[in-house]
Amino acid sequence: MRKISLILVSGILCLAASAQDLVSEALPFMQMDFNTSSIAMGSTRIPGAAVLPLSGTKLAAGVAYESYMPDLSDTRYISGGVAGVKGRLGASLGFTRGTGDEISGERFSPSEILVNAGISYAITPMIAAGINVKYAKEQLLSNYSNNAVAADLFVAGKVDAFDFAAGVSSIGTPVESENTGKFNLPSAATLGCGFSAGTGELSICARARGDYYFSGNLAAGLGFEGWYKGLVALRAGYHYGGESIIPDFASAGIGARLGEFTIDAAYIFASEALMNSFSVCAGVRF
Amino acid sequence: MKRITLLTCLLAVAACSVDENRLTIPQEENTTTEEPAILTAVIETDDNLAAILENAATKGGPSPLENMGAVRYERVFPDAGEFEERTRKAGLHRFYKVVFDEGMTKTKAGEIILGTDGIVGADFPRKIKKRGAVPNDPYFKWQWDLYNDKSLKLDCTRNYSSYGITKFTNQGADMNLLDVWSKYTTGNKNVIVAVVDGGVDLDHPDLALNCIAAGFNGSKNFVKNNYVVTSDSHGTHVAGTIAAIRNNGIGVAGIAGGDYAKSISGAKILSCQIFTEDDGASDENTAAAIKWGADHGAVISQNSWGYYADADEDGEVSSKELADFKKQTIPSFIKKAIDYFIEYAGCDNNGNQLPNSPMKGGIVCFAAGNEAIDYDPICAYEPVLAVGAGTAGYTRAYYSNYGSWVDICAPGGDGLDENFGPETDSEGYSRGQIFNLYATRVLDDYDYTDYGYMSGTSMACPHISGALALMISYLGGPGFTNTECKRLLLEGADKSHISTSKYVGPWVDVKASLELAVNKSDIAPEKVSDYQLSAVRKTVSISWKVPEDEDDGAAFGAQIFYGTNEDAVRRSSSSSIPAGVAMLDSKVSDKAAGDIINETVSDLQYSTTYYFVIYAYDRSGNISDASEIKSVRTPDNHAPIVKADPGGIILYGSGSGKSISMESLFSDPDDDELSFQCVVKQDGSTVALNFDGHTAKITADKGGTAEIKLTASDGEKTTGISIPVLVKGDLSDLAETYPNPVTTDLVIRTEQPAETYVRIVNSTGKAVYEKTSVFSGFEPLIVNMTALAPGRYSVTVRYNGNTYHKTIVKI
Repeated sequence: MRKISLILVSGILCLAASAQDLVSEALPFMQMDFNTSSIAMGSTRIPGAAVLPLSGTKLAAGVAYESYMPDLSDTRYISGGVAGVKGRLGASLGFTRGTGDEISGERFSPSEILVNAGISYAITPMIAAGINVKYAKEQLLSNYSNNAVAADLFVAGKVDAFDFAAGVSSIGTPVESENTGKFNLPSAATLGCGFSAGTGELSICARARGDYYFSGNLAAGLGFEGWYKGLVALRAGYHYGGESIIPDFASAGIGARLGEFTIDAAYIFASEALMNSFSVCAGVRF
Repeated sequence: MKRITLLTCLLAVAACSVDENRLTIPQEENTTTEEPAILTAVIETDDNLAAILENAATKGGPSPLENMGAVRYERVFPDAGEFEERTRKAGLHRFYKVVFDEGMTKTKAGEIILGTDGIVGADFPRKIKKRGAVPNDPYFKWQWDLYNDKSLKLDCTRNYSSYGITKFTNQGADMNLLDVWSKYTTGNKNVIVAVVDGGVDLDHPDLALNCIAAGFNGSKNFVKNNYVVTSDSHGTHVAGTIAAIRNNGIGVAGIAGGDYAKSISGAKILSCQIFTEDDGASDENTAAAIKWGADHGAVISQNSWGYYADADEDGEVSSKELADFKKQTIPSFIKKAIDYFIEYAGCDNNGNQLPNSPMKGGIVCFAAGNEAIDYDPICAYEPVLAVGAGTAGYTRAYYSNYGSWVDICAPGGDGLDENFGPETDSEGYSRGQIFNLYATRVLDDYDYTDYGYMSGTSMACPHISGALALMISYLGGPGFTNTECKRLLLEGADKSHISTSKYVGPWVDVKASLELAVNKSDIAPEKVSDYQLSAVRKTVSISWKVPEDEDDGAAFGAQIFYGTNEDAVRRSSSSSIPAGVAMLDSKVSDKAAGDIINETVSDLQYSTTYYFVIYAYDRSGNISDASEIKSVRTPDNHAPIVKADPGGIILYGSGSGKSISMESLFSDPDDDELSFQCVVKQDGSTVALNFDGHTAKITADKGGTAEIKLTASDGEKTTGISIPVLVKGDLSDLAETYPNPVTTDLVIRTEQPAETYVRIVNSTGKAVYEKTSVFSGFEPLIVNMTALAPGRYSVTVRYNGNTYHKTIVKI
């Protein structure tokens, strides 16, 4: 285990070092958060499948629609995913497709596709590890596209009301532009934690997350969620993006649960670039 | 005074009354001529009435003439356009032709005219006749009038000694032209003779090349008041005498008909038609016809027409008819027209000789008349050059009017057997007449029927007009005046042949007249001792004082030699001009000794020293000693300057364009003529350039930028500017970003220069570029996108309170 950790840390440092040469990251939407409830909480969800075995959920599925950055260059994302846990194993499958505005002077709208599959394993009742493999592609012109395969590696733990996770995301080979060279993926090391407490009718959850992008930039998020009788939830959060690929924003959202069905919505405000972005999601959870 | 005159007129018997106010009212009771059914009169108004009539004509107001019973009136001398100023100055605008109601008599009209305020003179039209004879049998080689080789009598078949003729054709009576043609001139197209006569056959194959076509600025029919000249043999014969095409292998030779074989054009005939083929006409159109010549380039007015004493037309002039005739004077409107021609022919409105005119002022020639009497109302007017007729035997033609008022004699011919009968053609007509052109009857079938004999002072007069045309052709130019020309003609004429009894003037001798001018002097003018030079830009101004000439009074001109080599200039002469030396011929014109002549020499080189020397000469070509050599240095050249830099050009969309006038862009401080060039310096595929040497037309092909290089050169120095051209997609694209997709540099333009905020974010919203600066269409913001990953980016441009978003792709 120690050996594995050293290798992992060494790899992260190498990627971080190589990223210093590049000032821009390719396929940045790899780091976008397409989870509606997470968006409402400042994008504090830990990506990947590691937390699945510790979540207590046996099967979940959902679809979401997101209007991203509508004031500048609206991109409409449609996402769908399914996740399940069986014993110590967890697995997930997701798909996202985004369509942007027509580019100026061309009758073409760029599009993005992100497909991911993850698997996780509960090493102990309190610790799990997972890997999430992603395939991303952006079609910039009718005859020009970029794509890459990347992976998220995370370790998650849960102790009573606390949980945590750490890992790296979007680790993959650089994207090569035949015109201007190679560009790294928006790889980052992430550390997140959460605290949940309930008093019968009310329950609350607070989450925090920090990211260190290998391009040298830091980002962090803090979010809160409150449930009333397990039926409706209010969420709010703030994401500090700094110089990272996801800019600053403040967000809020609501959620509702009726039996196994859930509906969530998130709205981004107080952001120069992402102002008025919103996401809605319908899901089922067992 | 007018009324007293009228009374006098009414009491007069068989006379046309004339008083000092020039009021001419014929007595209808005693006239022997048939009064026309519609009566017309020519009136002269004062300025006030003239103004009223003009105002009525243009604005339709009331006219005093309508109260006189006039049904129509019009100016005798119509508005002359560019010559209207001098027409008014001469008072010709005050003459009106008035047409009265049917039934109006001359007596009644005279009373009405005299009772009308503002009329200062009046004339009733009189009949005029051509002063020729009935056409005779043609045979064109018999032009003894031009060259008489004394062979005429050798063909005689009849014994004429019984006629008592001692001076016959073997006397060699002619105009002495052969030497003139060979030594001096055969005519010049710059000399225009206005033939006021029957219409000239402008298409006659032996004349057409020397005719001015009928038209608004050419020959005119004054009978019909239109521009259709109808052929008349009298007018054509007259014109042919003056300028039938010479040396063309057909027909006859005109006196100043040029040299067809040498491609030398003769004098030009301007036909001013006042007769139709039918003889007899009214004089009311003649004055305007005379004036027309002066206003259309003619310097000679040829008039073979006039009044006649034989009022009853019985072929005899009775003593009573002669007495009546002698009471007539020249009508004021014709007198005015003659004065006008003499003063203004060849001149501008101020009486200054026109640059291309061969003579200052005109000469009006009139035939003396054919009634063998000693008076003619027109020829008695002193300024007119009156021409009597002579025969092939140096005698007065039996018909020619005579008297001291006749200025000169010329061949007019004599067809009477008792004088020259023995010499006849195949049909028995005397060859002592003048053989020349007839009007062609069938234009495409000219032959001998288009030529024929005529005799009369009508034929003599064009000999003088032709002689004058020859003299002007040779002697004409700046400063040559009608007075000088007339003097030379008369002084050169031969006074030895014509009897002083029934005097018809000295016999014309063209050669003698010309040589009077050419050889009159053998003393050169004094050298030019006073002259000044000054240089402005590439032009040197020379002011030289006309030196005296011992036998001519003053130099006639000067040859100014100049060049950059002092020694070459010093060696210059009219017979030898060294290489690199140029010569300017400076005419004295009408200046006198001591006057200053100003000349300029242009198109020289800047910053160069030029040397000058001047030789004065007289009309005979005698050349003075050289003047002092002087020099002047032209100033330094200044490069052309840009008057107005247009900045940049923005074109919107393919096919849009803009024209740039180079003259509006550049000027030269030295006023040099500029030549221009225009090229597309960068990206010729963006715009198309069409340049004609003065205007550059730039047309957009596709979006992008280009640079147009414009240059102006004064021949030595060049100035250029570059104009950026921006071709935009469309007018609404106020914040343009291109190219898209972008690889390296992203260009961002705004419509106007302004402080502009630009922000570029990637697809996740991260700002990758942010800047506030001032830029515009021609000074765009260029963002290097090389370091940015391929992807979708959003560009925000905010200026002048507006925000624009663009989605671009970087690859």
